Amino acid sequence: MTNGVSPESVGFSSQRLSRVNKMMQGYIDDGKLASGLTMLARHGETFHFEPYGVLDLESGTPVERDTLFRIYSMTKPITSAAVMMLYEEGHFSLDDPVGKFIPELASMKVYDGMGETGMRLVDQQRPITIRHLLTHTSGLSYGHHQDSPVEQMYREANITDPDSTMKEMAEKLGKLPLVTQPGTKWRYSNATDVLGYLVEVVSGVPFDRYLQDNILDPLSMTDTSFYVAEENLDRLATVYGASTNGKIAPLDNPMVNRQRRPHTLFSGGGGLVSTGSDYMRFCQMLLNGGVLGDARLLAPKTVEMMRSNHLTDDLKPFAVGQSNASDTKGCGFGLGFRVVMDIAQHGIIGSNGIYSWGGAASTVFWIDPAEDLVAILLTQFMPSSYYPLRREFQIATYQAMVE
Amino acid sequence: MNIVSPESVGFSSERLKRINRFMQGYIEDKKLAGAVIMLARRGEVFHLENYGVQDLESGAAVERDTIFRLYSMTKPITSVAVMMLYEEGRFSLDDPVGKFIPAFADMKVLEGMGETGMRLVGQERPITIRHLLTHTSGLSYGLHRDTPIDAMYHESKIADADSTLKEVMDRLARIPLVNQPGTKWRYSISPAVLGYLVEVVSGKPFDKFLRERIFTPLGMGDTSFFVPEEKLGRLATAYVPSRGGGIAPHEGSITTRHRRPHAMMSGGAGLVSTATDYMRFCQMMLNGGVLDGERLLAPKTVELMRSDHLTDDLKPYAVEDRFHGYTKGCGFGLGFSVVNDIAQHGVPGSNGMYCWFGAASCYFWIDPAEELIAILMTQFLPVSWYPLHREFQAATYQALME
Repeated sequence: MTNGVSPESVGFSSQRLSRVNKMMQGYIDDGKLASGLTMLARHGETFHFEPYGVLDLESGTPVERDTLFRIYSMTKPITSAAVMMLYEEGHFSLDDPVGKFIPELASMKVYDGMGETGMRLVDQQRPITIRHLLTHTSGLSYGHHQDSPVEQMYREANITDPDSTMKEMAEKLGKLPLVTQPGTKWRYSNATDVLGYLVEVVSGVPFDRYLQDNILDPLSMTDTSFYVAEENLDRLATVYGASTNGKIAPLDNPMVNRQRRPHTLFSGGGGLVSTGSDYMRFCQMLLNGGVLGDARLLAPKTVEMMRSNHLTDDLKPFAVGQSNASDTKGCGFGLGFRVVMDIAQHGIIGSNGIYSWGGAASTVFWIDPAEDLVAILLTQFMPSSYYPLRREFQIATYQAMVE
Repeated sequence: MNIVSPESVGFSSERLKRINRFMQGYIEDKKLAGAVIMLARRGEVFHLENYGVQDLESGAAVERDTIFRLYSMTKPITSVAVMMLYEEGRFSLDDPVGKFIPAFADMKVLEGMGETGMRLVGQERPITIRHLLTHTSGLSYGLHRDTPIDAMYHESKIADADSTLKEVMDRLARIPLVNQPGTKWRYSISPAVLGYLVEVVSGKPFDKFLRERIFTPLGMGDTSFFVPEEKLGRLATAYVPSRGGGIAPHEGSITTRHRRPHAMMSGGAGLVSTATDYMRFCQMMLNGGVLDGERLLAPKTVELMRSDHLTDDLKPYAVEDRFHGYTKGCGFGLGFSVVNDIAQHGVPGSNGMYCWFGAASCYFWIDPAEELIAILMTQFLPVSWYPLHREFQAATYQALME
């Protein structure tokens, strides 16, 4: 990857591309976002890399290209890549039961509705497989829903307590019932956190160490980690939420504070902090079929399988939460990200085969194999569906692509 | 044989070592006695490795020319013979089989069990040649237990090595079909019927037809229905799980028949071969019906053979219940499985790859998109005992770099 070429040299219009800046600057000027960063690359060349606003409203420090953002669920594709690297080494089949490696999850009961004396629990009809975890069809949940009493149990169990261990997380999860039978429903879940633990168990190396040695170091993602070292804290953007007076206010809770200090639970589903350039290197590796420079992480056929739709028709449409339902129209799900199968149904300009995911603080990335394009938007605002930011970014990007 | 470097055909030597490690693991753990793996891309062999021994007792090492019982990997060869005659205009795929083998015209169909035994009805539509090629004829194999029919296969000695094809067909035609032709996929004896069809239509014994029209032109000198005496020292022993753990040699009609001349030339399971021979057959298929100037089939015929012939109501299909996972995302062509959806299939590869396996755990696939052929030869029954095939497929594709 080189450090910046003209948009025209890769088929984009500079003039039209200014609409991306205008859209992002509008969010800043309106006080809807404090910070933002957009980064676009085509044919392996970065042609747009723009910071907006300030990383903290109080300090007024401007966002720079190396500003650190919590990427939350954009951690998931990195965890999936780690799992598939171990898959390539022959450690397991995708259809292997997870219980073979994590016994805590082998005999989980399944919620079957409310009886007169409380929850009716039944046995698993088939075991949770690694593929179920990769595609969010395991029957695990996240504790974000209201449609089942199991959700409240997740919240009370504090599954991803930052100061617990991966093993303790598995033990806590293993005691909760599954929300559905494995393989029968798509449901956004802690499954990717479990996959992080699977990496630890299978590789024999702590999850953070595994990522460091096998993904982050080889790809030179030097600013990506589960928490920010003290000397870099001034580069970490503050997370904001909507405030009662129509403005935004900094959030102060464990979910945003854990990244500021060492902790022991490495969340494969949402733990990482990263920068635009670092995440671009990860995306470019995927777009290249598993390789970046000399670093070969995955084989092209493995990446092809990851970005294929794995959901049968009965599992679609799927939705992260009610408010995000429209984002997944026309989409299937691969091994760690959404895959656009029908761009017309999806309803936003782009290509069939785009794969993408977002983070809880409104970040998003997508990779478009057909157009050889990677797009990344980083910011720090919750909740992620509050503004139509992602679709506006996608529209502004593709309207600027002129060949 | 010229073996090119993996790098010259887009594979990583470094990553290919994982195949050796995984196969060597099976040998060291005493799960398999021996094996050969052969990979070719764009017409060039880039990996040909032998592992373990042909026979645990003699300790004779597996060599590149070790002979293996193909069992059901015979079926694609029989399909090719049928399609060669099809190209000559001898029949249409939708012709009733009864036109050529009259005894099949009047076969009854099991409709269910009545108080006095089986309720039998007539065929609603006749068995066609296409039904035989796609295992949708209503014939069975003697492997199932869901009806009394499979027991009748055993009683009628359908698998007898010393009956002629004609004798077996006459006995088979007296047993009812399990279901109406064309209504269900069921793994079956039908490729053996196709072997007999080749005999009837060509006027030549089936083994002679294969030798003259397929094995000799393709240079498959080690492929035959039994191993001649002078080559017996190259035949690998077939193993089964042993009661005390480990593996033990299998001694039974299905493994001993290949050591001597016998009358039954089974188009479904009869052949022995080597990795090199079978590679030549696969390469002919990948090339669209031709190898080294020897034209067996037209490209459009091969294209039809590797197309999915099953309508949705016939899917998913399964050889047996325990195989169910492996045919996920697959359709069925004229003699092999065809991957329609690699994600549902669940192992890296390409849509459009076609493959089949043998009862002693042999496996091959042809991937037109990547111009790749992969062959695994070993001798261990039953085939689904280990996850060998999916591990081999995953290990191969993780080494394909461009």
